[in-house]
Parts: sequence; C-alpha cells; structure tokens
Amino acid sequence: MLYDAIEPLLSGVQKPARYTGGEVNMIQKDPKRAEVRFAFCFPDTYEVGMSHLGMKILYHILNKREAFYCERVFAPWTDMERAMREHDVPLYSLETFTPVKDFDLIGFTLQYEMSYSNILNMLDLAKVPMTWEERERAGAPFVVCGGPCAFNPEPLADFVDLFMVGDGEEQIVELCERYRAWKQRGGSREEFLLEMANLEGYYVPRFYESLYAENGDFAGVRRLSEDVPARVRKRCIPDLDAAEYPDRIIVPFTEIVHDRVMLEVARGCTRGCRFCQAGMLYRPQRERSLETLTGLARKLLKSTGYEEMSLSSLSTGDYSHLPELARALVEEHSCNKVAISLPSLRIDSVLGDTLEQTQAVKKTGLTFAPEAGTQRLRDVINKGVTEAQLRASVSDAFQKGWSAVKLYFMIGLPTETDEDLEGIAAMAKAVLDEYFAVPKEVRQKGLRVSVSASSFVPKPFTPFQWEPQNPMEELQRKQRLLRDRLHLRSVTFNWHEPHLSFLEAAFARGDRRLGRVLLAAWKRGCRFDGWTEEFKFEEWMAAFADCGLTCEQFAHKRYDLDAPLPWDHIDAGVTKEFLKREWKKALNAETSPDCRKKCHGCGINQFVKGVCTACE
Amino acid sequence: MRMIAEFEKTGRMSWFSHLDLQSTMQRALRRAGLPVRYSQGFNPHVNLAFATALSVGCQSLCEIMDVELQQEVAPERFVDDLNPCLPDGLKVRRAGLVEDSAPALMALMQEARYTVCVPGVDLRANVEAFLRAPSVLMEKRSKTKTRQVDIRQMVHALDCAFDGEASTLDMILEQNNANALKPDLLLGALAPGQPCRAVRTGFYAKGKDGGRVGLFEAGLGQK
Repeated sequence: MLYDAIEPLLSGVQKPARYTGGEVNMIQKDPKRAEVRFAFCFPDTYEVGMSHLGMKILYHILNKREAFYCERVFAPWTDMERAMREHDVPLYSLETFTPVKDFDLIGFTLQYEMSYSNILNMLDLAKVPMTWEERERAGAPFVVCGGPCAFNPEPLADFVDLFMVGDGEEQIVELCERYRAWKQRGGSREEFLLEMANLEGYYVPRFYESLYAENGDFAGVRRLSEDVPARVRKRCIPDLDAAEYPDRIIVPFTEIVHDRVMLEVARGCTRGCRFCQAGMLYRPQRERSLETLTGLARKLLKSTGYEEMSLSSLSTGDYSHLPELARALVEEHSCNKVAISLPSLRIDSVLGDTLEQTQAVKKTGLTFAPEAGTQRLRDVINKGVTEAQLRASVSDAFQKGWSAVKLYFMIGLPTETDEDLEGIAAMAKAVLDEYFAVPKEVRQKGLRVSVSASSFVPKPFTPFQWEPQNPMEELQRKQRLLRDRLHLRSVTFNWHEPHLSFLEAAFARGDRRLGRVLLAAWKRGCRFDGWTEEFKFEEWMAAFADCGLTCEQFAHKRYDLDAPLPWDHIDAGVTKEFLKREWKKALNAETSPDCRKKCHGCGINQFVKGVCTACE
Repeated sequence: MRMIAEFEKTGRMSWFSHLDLQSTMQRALRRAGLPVRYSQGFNPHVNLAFATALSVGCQSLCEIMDVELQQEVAPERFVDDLNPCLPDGLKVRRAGLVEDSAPALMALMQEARYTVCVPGVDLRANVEAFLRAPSVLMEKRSKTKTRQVDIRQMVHALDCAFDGEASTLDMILEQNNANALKPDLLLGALAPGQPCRAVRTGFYAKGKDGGRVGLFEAGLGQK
C-alpha cells in the first residue's frame, strides 16, 4: 500500500498530520465498489483547503451516493513535495492513499488565480499529463474545474477537459452520473465531452478557439462546431433551502484556517459593490430558512463536537432572519459552550444587551470595509457606507469596551486621486477622534487602529471589467503616500507588495495565451504564488518573456466597451448592458441602491427569482 | 470527580501533535455527550490534562488523560461512550474515577517504557557496551540551546533482542518533572543515524515499597 511509502517521509516534514487523513467523519468506502472515483483536489495546503466550504458541500453530496467515492487531495508543502519526488511517491488521496492518476475524474476548485501554478504542479506530482491533448493520448483521467475562477476559464483552457460554471451541487452529481453511463457503454472521450458541453453550465475548451488581431489584441472566442452552444450559461440552484448541505463535516486534527462549523445562511449579495466579482457571480441572492439552519446547526454540532460556529455568506448582516437565527442558536447551544460568531456590526442590534452579557457570542473583532476614503469614490464603487455611519459604529463600540478596530481599503480604484488617499487617512483620524471623545473612565485602554490597503484588481463580470489596473509604480507611490499620512500613534498601516496583484490582474482578465505563460512559470519553479515566501516574481516576468508576452498587456489593458472580452462566451446571468450601465454610473459617482430596494435590471431574473425580485 | 483514562495513540494518529491531541480529545468528549467540566473565562474549554506529551511520530499504548467531570459517570460507560467517537488509532483501554483532590498524575510519574524496532542491524553488542559504561554523554538540543547530558544514569533498564532481521529494544527511561530522556536520544547513542520509530508501552510510578508500579494503578490507588 502507498501509505508504507509515505510514512517514512513524515518524520522529516512540518505538520505531518496534513498528509495522513483518518480524521473524524472522513468517508470510508471500499474503493473497489465505487463506480466513479472522484479526486477532489484543492490547489493549496491542507489548512487552506480544509477551510473551504464548497469542498465540504460537494464532498458530502457525492459521498452520500453509494456509487460514487469522492476523496480529498491537497498540495503538499514544499518540504513534502521534495520528499515525495525524492522517493518517487505520487500525489495521493487522503482517504485511501490511492494515486491520483488512478481516479476516474480529477477535479480542481478554482478559488483564486494565484493557485494555478499549483494545479500544474499537482498534476505533475500525480504523474498525470498536464494538457488535455496529452491526456487524451495517454488515456489519463479527465481533469475538470469549477469555482469562481471558472467564469474566466481561458488561461487554463489548454489544461482542462471540462469546466463547470456556477453552483456545483447539482452539476457534480450530474457529471458523475453521465460519466458512469459513458464508461459503461464505452465510447470516445470526445463523445463524452460533447454530451457534457450540451448540458447547462459545462464549458469544454477543445470545442472552442481563440482569435487574435494582428496587433496581438484578443479578438474573440469562436466555437469550432455548431454542435456546441455559442455561450455557456452558468448553473444556478434556484432554491437554496432545498439544496443538499452536509450534516456532518470532517474535523481535522491539526488547526486549519477556519476551524469551526460554517453555516451557509445565504448565497449571493444584493449590495452591488462594483468591484466585487462574487457579488455579481453568485446572483441572485438566495437564503436558507430558519428551520433548515437551526436543524443543520444541531446536527453539525452534534456530529463534530466543534465549540464554535460561524454564519457564512457574502453579507451575513443582510440575512433576513438574522436576529431570530442568532437568538435561536445562542439559546440552544450556549449550555454546551458553543460560541456563535456574528458579524461585528450587527451584534448589538441583533441580540440586545442581555445576550451580549453571556459568553455565547464570540466577538470576532471590529472590522469595517469602507474600501475608499471619500464619499465620492465610495459612490463610484457603490459601497454604501458613510463616514457618519462609521463614526457612529465605532463610537458605540468604544463605549461598549472595544479598543481595536480594523479598516479595510483598496487603492488603485478607477477615478481615484490623491484626495481619495488623503480621505483614507482622514477616516483613520476620525476613528481616533471618536475614541478620545469617549470619557476616559468608560473607554478601554490600548487603542489599536489597523488600516489595510489592498491593490484593486479588475475582475470579469464586474462593471470595472474594462478598466486597467494601476501600474505598479503608481500603486507603490500611493502606498508611500498613505504610509506617510498614517504615521500616527495607535495606527498601524498594512499593505501588500503590488507584484502579486499585478500578476493576479493578468490572469483574472487574461485569455488562452496565458496557458503558455503558466506552463513556463511552472517550469521555472513557480508554485504557491499566494504565499509571500514562495512567490517568484522575476521568474514569472521571465515566463511572460519566454512566450513573447508581457504581464502589462493583460493587467494594464483598457478594454474597449464594445471589444470582445475573453469571457464573453460565458453567461454569468448579469448582462453586459447592465454592467455597462453600472460602469457609466460609476464614472458619474452615481449609486445604485441595494437590489432589495430597487431592481436595476441586471438580467439575473431570466434564470430564477431571488430575494431581490421576490420583493417586487 | 475526575476520570483517569488510559488510551492508545497508534498508526496514523501518531502524526498529530500534543496540541492537536487536546482539541481532538475535547471534541470527542463533546460528541460523546459526557458530562465534562469546563474552565471559566471568555473561551471555556474542557478541563483536560495529559500525563506528558508524546513526540510526533511516536506511537503509544499507554497515554493517560485526566478529565474533570460535572457528575459521576461509571468508568465502563465512559469507555463505551467515548470509543465510538474517537478516530481509528485512538482508543481508550480503561478508565477509573478519582476525587478532585487526588494528586496529578504528572507528579507521580517516574519512568516511561518504550519499544523501538531497528531493522537490519544487531544492536546487542552496542547495548552491552552502553550498559557497562559508567557514563554516556550526548548532546541534547532544545529550541534555544544545546547541552551535554549524561544519559546513562537516566536509562533504568535496557534490553535488546535480535531475530536475525531486526533488533528490538525494550527500554525504561527516566521521566519525571525534573528529567526526561526520550528514546531517540538513547538510540542516537546505540545506533547513530537510525530513524527512531518508538512505541511507548508503559508509565511507572514509585510504589510504597519503592518498587515500580504502573502509573494508572498508582493514580487510582491514591483515593
């Protein structure tokens, strides 16, 4: 068994429990009796991947079906990778220590662009050919991908047989069922993929080609045959309350990033922030009912023994039944010392003072994300937070004994000027003023205000999808300016080197040519790019040069409003007309109120009605 | 009341750390619905202690935990309720109740016993030489410094068998609040460079007559 080859490696690596599986609630089946074996690969470490809610949901859904066996695979950290390569141990699953190459389907979840090099590295470690063409020749397993980055699949088009676009709950079952039928009847790979391409939400890149103008500009994606749809429409679960959700989840031995029960109260968001890709992709907003959630919470806490639970969604504060849910959970589970994490802004209004006195609610820290420093720019990005609201909230919090506040901002947003940066500093000062306005006897000592500024990355399917990213020098200048202005007592300023955001911008809006760059970068040793200590910026730039391309031409590109975009053949539900309208409103600093208040005609109701349209 | 329980940590379970054992056992106790007592404070946790830490990668047949209970539970029920809630490789062997006032097991512990299997070498001569030597100095590395220690005095018993393929060492090593010798350091003296795959097989306290008694029995005997 492969475990005998793995075990001797474990004493030489950090955190060996990441590589051994065997956790509570891990699914154990006889692999020989599984008709379809699915390797669910997360292209990052165990601690990151095990914190991901989507994986927990899909793992549960597949394994509930007797015929399918879904097993987990994570990217080994560099020390383990070295040991595995040295001893010729292939990438394996944690459930049964089966080599990944022996599975039927290899699935990767695409949560962020900077994990792409890990996908190639994991395929290499698995001894699975990287491109679909090579796999076809070798008869290797299919590689399928899903997750938010599948909405611009082009940079991975050379490597992936099949993309799944949209909510995965139904799709992953359908895929395995169709695969089983295809396997039983026998047939060509192309036949199977053609069948899938004609179902909703599947994109098979081999049936499409990319076109380029003579000057190197992207000129569109074209289907190679009439047998596949011209546009791939995302899959959407209309009734979230009826969707399957796990009632038991794996409890890791070793601490992971989000080590608690996560209860997904809603999917989607009605706020319409113009920089936010998730807010557009996961439309319409759909909620689970109070009864469903309290029932799931009970089962999950019982089956895991977890002592903490968080309510998860893009904007939990907007969940319709938040007060009732919070009260019900606290009342039922506080006797078992379960802490419920709630969005910090709403704790007081939601629970009132009596429950706040108990220890059942975990205050996870006071965080605000105004994202921009002036009202004008906040209107541009449609972030409905005012300085007065921020002042009122922090003042209230300081009076209740808080002394630490985190503020999140973005720099490099469209139309940003230095005045907006000065506004960030002014907001930090406003927080200081509110603290000192609270009488000394009332306020808690040790004021800490942390200001974080990330670099804006334009994303597909947002009103800013046509916008260029700021050049790195400009982002660095802005960071220096902020650093000078925020050199204040009790204030710490955090920023990230813009190099990673620069690369992220290229891959977020890139086209099929980036596949060559990715392969070249992997050959140059790039992987774990999201980890500062592993990120090799120079190698990435060299990889672009190897392919006769530049990172600038993608990251800094301003797309013409009517130019074809590399993700035009994907239909995310929101229409291009809506995004254009929002873009124009943005330039005029015109806001679009919350979709629950007013419908802005984004186009999603062609699919399904969510909270937004149900309100009408 | 407190429950003292002896449990195994074997196979894949040998790869998670002492810190991970705390949370794993705490959650298992919660899943089993046993009436454990919680600490006061902002983040209440199960009042749970272990006799001593086990090195990552080392297996054990005799780990001991000490859990505070809100109300009395029959030891048999404790074992029967907890075992189905533990992952493969963690298994409670036996348990017994003690009063809150009973001394902590850590205070009673004097020695730990290990079995180490070393394939491919006959270590019998090395063991004899080691036992004849009046002192054996080894470098002991901690996170901050390296110092010389005489490990000979901390080896209370050492036996070696060779079956033609592998040497099996059976060792009783000092393990108390002041001093502790880990099997890898001793193996470093006997067979430098050999990986140490140890199994902890027993803990001992000092009996009334000065002889060796099992720590679990000693802990329960102090009622």
